[in-house]
Amino acid sequence: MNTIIVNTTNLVKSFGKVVALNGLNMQAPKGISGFVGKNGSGKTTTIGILLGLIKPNGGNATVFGLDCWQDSFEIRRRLGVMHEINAYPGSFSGRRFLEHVAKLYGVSQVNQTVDALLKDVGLAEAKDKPIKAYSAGMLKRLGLAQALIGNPELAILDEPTANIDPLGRLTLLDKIKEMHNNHDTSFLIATHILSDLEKICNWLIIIDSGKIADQGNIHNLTEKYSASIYKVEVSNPQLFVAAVQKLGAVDRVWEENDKVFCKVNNPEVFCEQIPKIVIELKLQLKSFQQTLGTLEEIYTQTVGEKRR
Amino acid sequence: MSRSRPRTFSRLVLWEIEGCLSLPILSLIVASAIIAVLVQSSSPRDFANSYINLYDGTSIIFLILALVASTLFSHSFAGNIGNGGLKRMLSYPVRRWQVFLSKVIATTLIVFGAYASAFTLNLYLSSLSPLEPLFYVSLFTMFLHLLLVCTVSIGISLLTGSEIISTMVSFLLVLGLDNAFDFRSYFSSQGRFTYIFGYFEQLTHLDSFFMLTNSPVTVEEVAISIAIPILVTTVGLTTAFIYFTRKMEID
Ligand SMILES: Nc1ncnc2c1ncn2[C@@H]1O[C@H](COP(=O)(O)OP(=O)(O)OP(=O)(O)O)[C@@H](O)[C@H]1O
Ligand SMILES: [Mg+2]
Repeated sequence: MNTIIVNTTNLVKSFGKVVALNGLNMQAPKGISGFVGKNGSGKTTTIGILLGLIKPNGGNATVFGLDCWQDSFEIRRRLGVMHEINAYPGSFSGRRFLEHVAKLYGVSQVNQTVDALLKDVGLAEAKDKPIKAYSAGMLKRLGLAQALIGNPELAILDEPTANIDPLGRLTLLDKIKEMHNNHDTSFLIATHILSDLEKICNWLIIIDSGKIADQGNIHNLTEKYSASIYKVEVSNPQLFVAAVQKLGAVDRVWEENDKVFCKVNNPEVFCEQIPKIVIELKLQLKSFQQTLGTLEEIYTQTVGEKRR
Repeated sequence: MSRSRPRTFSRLVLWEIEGCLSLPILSLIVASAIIAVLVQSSSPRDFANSYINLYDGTSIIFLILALVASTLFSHSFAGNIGNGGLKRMLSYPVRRWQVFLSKVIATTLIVFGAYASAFTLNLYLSSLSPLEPLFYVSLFTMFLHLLLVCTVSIGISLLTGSEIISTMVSFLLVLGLDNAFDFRSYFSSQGRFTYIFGYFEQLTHLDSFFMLTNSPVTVEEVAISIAIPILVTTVGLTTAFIYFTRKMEID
């Protein structure tokens, strides 16, 4: 299960003076991969390169082992895409539009395929309405449907769940999971909604300023980041931070909402030292705990670093 | 999943046509074509020479044709770049040349279809025989004019990616050329039409009295008039095609 299907090495892309990608080394294996990063960190640009829409200035990008610029057509036959910006032909009905797309993919039983998809993404009732009458959430659903036509090996989704109501979101996530389980479809999902990823992803790619901040199996990442972060609540955080900063066992200390977070390189020494500091400074220790690994924490630690 | 071999290109052309036909501006296009034909001065002439009506008033047809064609081509290219439709389209398993040519073909067919059908009204209005050769000569010139506008609009569309700029600039460019040069110049559409029309009139109507040019039209003159739009179109569209298929980045 560890075949790499998306691979980039030292990918560089600039738009005039703006450097969008700055030596991106990204790998995504088969499975469901989350692709996260701040606004403007380069997610959409990366996706554009993977699809052969944008030509990189340097480096190398492959999907299924094929070169993204040279063999773009081969790649696109095997994947489905949902872009960040919806641009579907407004005068077509959702159904007519999907039929067209299905034919481009050479799907054999167009009607059945389209009807089933429409039902799956929850558009069965709106299928005969013209697309221009769709709501933002319905457009996202349509986007997902057209990305999944023809059971692609890989579906690239840019912001798939934005604008979708909470229940609809769960349905869509289920659909993604189901596609993965039943058809072995892999996903690369760029999103800002980490809680969505938490439910379905097994791989996480974190991008920051056009570079990989970290990537890997979600369990490994969770362990890596949560094991070394401690959350401490004390009566005088400022005083505490000043003292903790001097400890060799601590890499980094920051304060958030009156709580102190410590990134620790030697937990044993750290746990030994904290009570001493508390007593020395005559502080009141309210809580002391290792943080639980959520994607949000991984994200904050990797991408948030520069902010502090 | 069993897959049939997709006939991608013909599908794309049909899709483009279907998209064009459902545009709200389409009825406007058809109306404009009919009005353009009706507006021309069909001053009563004696029956034998009523084919001259085909010449009179074509300048307004060329003008409106230029407006409509630059609108539609700019919509099809720049509009699609701007709204992300092209990005979506090129993410499907289609080749870039297929998308480019399907747009050119579909839009040309629609505009020419509308204008050619409206233009046939002339046959009735001027009581001409459907076999009147100058009718087809006029249609042919109209087609050349359309190709020219098509080339300019696509070029500017790809350069600017802006629908409104592309529409305006390509229309104004054609309009400007037609205004700057008169009906005896190769650089105005009316001028080229005069040479082409005059030449074929001499050939087909021996009692020709139509003499816009001071002397009979020579073969060179008509050749140049035909060659200019064809040359511009060939060079322009080829350049645009190569740029679109090999270089262009869509983001
Ligand atoms: N066509 C373009 N011209 C100029 N700059 C661009 C262009 N496309 C992207 N950029 C710049 O490249 C950087 C990366 O943009 P990109 O759209 O890839 O970010 P993103 O991670 O998708 O952001 P978001 O989360 O907001 O969607 C940004 O600084 C952006 O301003
Ligand atoms: Mg983006």
